[in-house]
Amino acid sequence: MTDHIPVLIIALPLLTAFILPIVGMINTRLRNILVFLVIAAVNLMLISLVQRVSIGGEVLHYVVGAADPLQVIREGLDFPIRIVLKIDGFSLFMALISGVITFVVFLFSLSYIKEGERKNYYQLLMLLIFVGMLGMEFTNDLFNFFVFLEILSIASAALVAYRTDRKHPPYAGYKYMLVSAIATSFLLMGIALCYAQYGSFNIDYIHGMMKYTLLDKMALVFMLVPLAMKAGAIPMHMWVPDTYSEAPAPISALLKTASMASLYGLFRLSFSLFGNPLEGGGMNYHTLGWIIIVMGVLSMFVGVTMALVQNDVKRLMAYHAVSQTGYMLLGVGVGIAVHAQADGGSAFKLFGRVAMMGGIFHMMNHAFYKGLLFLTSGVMARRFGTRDLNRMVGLAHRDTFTTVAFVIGALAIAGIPPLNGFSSKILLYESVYQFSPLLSIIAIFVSVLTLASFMKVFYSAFMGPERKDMIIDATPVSKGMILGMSILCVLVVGFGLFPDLVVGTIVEPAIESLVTIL
Amino acid sequence: MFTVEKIFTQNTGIIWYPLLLVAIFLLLICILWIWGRYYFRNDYNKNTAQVKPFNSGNLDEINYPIRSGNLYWGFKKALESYFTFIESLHKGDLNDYMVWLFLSIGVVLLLVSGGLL
Repeated sequence: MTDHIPVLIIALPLLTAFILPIVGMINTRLRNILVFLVIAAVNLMLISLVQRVSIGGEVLHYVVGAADPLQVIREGLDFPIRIVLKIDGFSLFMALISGVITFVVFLFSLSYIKEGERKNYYQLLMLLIFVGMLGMEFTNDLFNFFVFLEILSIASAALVAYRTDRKHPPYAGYKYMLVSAIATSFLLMGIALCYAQYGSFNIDYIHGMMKYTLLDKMALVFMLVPLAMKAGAIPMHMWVPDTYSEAPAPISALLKTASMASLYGLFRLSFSLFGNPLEGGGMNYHTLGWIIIVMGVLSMFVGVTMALVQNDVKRLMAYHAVSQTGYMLLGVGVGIAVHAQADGGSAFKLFGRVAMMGGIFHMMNHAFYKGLLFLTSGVMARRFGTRDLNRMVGLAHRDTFTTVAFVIGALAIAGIPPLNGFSSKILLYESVYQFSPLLSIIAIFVSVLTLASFMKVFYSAFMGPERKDMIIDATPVSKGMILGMSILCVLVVGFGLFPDLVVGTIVEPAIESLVTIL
Repeated sequence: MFTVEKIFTQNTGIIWYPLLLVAIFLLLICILWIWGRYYFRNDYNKNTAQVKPFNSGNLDEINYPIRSGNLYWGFKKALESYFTFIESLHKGDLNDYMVWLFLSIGVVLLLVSGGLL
């Protein structure tokens, strides 16, 4: 049974999604229990793999549909066929993030989304996003990566446009779908270029055969730039505030995690498909590293300055999502740039590896605190019936728990110790400083502006006198919503207090599986 | 096994013990509380205007908070030209989104393939 865990992790939520509308028509309570059990089971299966994959360093392969799923290359063949799933430290790390956030979003949505609001479809689409993320993270096949990205994009577009009774969400969903379609078309073109040359979609096989021709470089760019767009990197970030702000609050948290699956794809293809930069032949990896660094720095700065002038709380948070993506790009960009230096990898060992560690650890931290902030924005928007900060005041008098959760999330995103945002940012500041002090200073300055921006939200929405006349919905925050936010609060504080435990257990194995030669 | 403390010590000499930091923080809070009990002023009258913030003589409690849109006014005014430019790029036009994608693909392709460098 345990041998089949890799495929069960994807198949279980996928099959549940298909039967969900029928179960929902029979009994809504049963449907909720079913979704809860499935998401919990997937999380338990993911946790059960930590010992083998992250701590033990094992790489799990699973050939979907084969008579012997554990036999990757069959006799008489010299390359793998069929769909191969591969779980290593990095893919498991990402899947854990996806699992936790989906679980929290489900709990929060239990009462946040009313039964009369087509909840059957809401949960179905939520599960499909979950499947899309897990599939992208586990597949070792380029075409299936594309398929899972499409599943993710279509389900996300539908959930962005979920509030069809309002004016803007359908338009935002349409925008998201169009942007995704164009981006994934380029991705497909890149995959086709690889297939045309090497006759396989298998990432490991293509990696071994890579010749670094001009077509390979075109394939690299056609894959990486659209993935950067899906991750929300500047200058292709403009869809992020449009879509995150119109989606229901818990879905904004899920979308952020989904965009990190694209970021995973970007990092994974940079290393696992296009090979080790040290052996990159004609590939200009130093330039590639700098391109990612420039994207990261611009994302950080433009994202935070745009956030500072927003009065729509969710648009403000969406711009911060762009800004924080910049930190991740900066860390991994520095890692790629120094990995390519002709110094035998000494700079990489000295600080490049730590920079990548900071960038990748920040992915997890960001998913948790930004998820928490989006959930609190849902409470704020529901209370006042608006997302406009000019029309919010004194929420701290009424919602003490939400206030505390917001403060924790805001301090974490600003990199205030001892919260998790600080743990990853200090790794970035220190390592990037050795690469270029200016980049580190910009990163610190962006954190200062981030704090200023969230002080504005705190002052506007939570401080001030209590104004009962401005409250549109006085329904108390439900237990599910509190539980969802509590889980993220605990993780944000816990990862800040015990960063070495997290880094040693799951972050460092993620780096080791991404960078093959250390 | 890797530890964060090791990395930080190797790089800049900073030692990062979060639990120690929290303990020091709590200790400082305790000291401040004890200090406040003996030395802070407690001669104000509760439930009077003495404990309320002074707002230039404006006694309208409900409307005194500064609106979110007016916060950081000086910062925005000082960087007006930057914000005018950057906001003009965020008009929400789908054509802009596509132009930036195509432009990025073109520039990155030229850079990575060695066409520009």
